[in-house]
Amino acid sequence: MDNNPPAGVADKLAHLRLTFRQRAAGELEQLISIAERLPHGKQRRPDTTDDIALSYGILHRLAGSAGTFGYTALGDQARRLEHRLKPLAEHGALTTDDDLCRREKNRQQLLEIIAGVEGLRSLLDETDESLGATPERRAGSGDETNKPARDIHVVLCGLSEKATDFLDHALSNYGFLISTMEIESLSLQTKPGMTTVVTSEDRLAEVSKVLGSLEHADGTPGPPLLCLGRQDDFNSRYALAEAGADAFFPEPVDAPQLAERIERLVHEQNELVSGKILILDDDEHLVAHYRTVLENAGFRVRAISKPETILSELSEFRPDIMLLDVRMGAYSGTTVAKLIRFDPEWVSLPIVYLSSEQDKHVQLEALAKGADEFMTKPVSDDYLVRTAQIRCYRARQLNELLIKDSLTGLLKHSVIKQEVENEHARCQRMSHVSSVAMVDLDHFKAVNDQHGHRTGDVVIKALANLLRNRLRSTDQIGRYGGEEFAIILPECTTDQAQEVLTQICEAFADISFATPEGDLSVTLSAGIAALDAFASGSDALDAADQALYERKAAGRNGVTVFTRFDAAL
Amino acid sequence: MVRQSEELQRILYVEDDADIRAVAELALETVGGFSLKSCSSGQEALRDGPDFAPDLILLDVMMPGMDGPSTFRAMQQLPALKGRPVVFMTAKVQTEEIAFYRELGAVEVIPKPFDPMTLADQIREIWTSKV
Repeated sequence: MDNNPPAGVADKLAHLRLTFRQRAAGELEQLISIAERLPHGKQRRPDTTDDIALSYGILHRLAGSAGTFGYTALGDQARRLEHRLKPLAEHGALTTDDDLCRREKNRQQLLEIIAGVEGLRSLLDETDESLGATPERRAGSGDETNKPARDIHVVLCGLSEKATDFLDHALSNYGFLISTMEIESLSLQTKPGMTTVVTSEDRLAEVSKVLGSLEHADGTPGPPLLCLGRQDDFNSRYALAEAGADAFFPEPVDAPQLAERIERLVHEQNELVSGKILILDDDEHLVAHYRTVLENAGFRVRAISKPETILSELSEFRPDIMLLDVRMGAYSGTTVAKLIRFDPEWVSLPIVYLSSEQDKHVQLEALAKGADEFMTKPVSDDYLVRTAQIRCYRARQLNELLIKDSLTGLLKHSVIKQEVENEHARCQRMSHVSSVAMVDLDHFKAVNDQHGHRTGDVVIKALANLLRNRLRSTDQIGRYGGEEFAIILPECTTDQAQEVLTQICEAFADISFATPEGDLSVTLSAGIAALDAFASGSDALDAADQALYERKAAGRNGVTVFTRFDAAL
Repeated sequence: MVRQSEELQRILYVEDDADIRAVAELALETVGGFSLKSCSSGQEALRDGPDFAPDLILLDVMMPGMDGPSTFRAMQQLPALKGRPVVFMTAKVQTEEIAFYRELGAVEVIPKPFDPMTLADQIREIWTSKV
């Protein structure tokens, strides 16, 4: 057989692939709506036979077809879910009273299985990303930090065969990459911060020891260690915590809870390594040393020796915590701390004093004036890193709640506005070119009116996810109003921004949302302005907004760049 | 016309899923160069199959209403289709199920998902080695 297929086959395949993708997206949406329809309380026990049959049918089809269209990972995952659903699907209708109990069980199992569908969704989206026709999808250079969220690896180690099988099955449904390792050969090749280890109470001590030695070798903290166990009381939990477990799950394991915990632990660990620290100390050598130590531990550090520049440094660098020397020539650290607290924005910034002061009473006085902790010089490198980690972690946790929009997980209005000003300042200082964009859903009121606010929320969330996935991790996205989003694209020309947003526009129009009234697709309009071309960030936002309205007037569904510099704003 | 030809030319294909049917048509007609008759249900295949006089029958296992095995059994009642080699396609690849289809009389079972670029070769291979 000759290996070159006839001309046109690739194009036709690509077209069929697109058709498949659209249908698959609709089917996954259908599964999600089944999951949402199932009541979570105990008040009713509806017959789920139809839902089970429908879900089983969809999963079976995906398992058998996704691979043909290039979505191999999606197909494999659908097959796993299908296998789990099979026993339920084969029971048939349950009608007698005796079956009520089983119904309840079925409902719960179905819910649990369908919970894995979100993972399928991301597989559908990801594959699209990697096989997309246009390779230059993202603006700017393609360095590491520009990549979207990476896979989380779960290592199963020292578990019984039964538990290993169960977890392999249950956790892969959530999109984790699972591998099984023997304690003797336990190694972590993946990037630090993206791995977690699950073990049993019997082998915990051994595994913890091996992980401890790995940790020592390269200096980075080890992966979170989760432990499964039979006994669930204070004493056994205490023993596990002492032996190095980061979390404990009693058997039988609740898979959704375990998955959530893994995600959170890994997430927290990444937060730790990405903390931002501002150091103010007039001893330049000491500052250089702190900086090296903290940077080696994975922090982003800015060190300054002149107190006069503190306010501009704060608003530009926006640290998670600050290390402050108590005595700096003519200035007193405690007074500087008070001055920082003048600004409501910095009231909650954790400030840690660095001082050679040994007297506890003097330390307490200093703390009363606005700091959170005292580190006595000389500070050991290890102590410095640990303190910084703990402080950054807590600050980030609080910050998450304060700055993120609860529906979309994007930045809140006031935060993104402030970020625009910050980026504007960076543009001025570094003389680089950045863009801002305003994005608005077209005819969104009609979506809410005709399909209900629930569908409206689904649409908004979908756009938020798409923006997060398609933009660089250095871009900032905020929910500006109900259906309006603001985006900052640092070091990106308006041409590049227009290219990226046009692709997002097209991708979003392609998504079809399943509603009881039939499939729904929504388009979006965007306006772009060059941030550096305006006197302030808010002027640039206004210009982007004006471009957005020009686009709306010109027929929506597209991207317009602001060019009317002659017209007064 | 029931005489077995040297080379595989005519394939009767039964599959309920339109997406899969479209890609298999591409794989077998355009890529493979076969003469293909595709049907969306067992009933349609029983109605149109005899006139088409296929060399080989390709049957999806899981179809609503009349599934692959029952289509297979019904075909054995039709003189024009009886004895034609049948290949099942299925998304389930457990060994006991494959054994079951073999026992039923299938010459081979092709697991789904299939690769559209190699499906034709796969079927030619079955034709030369198993039929």
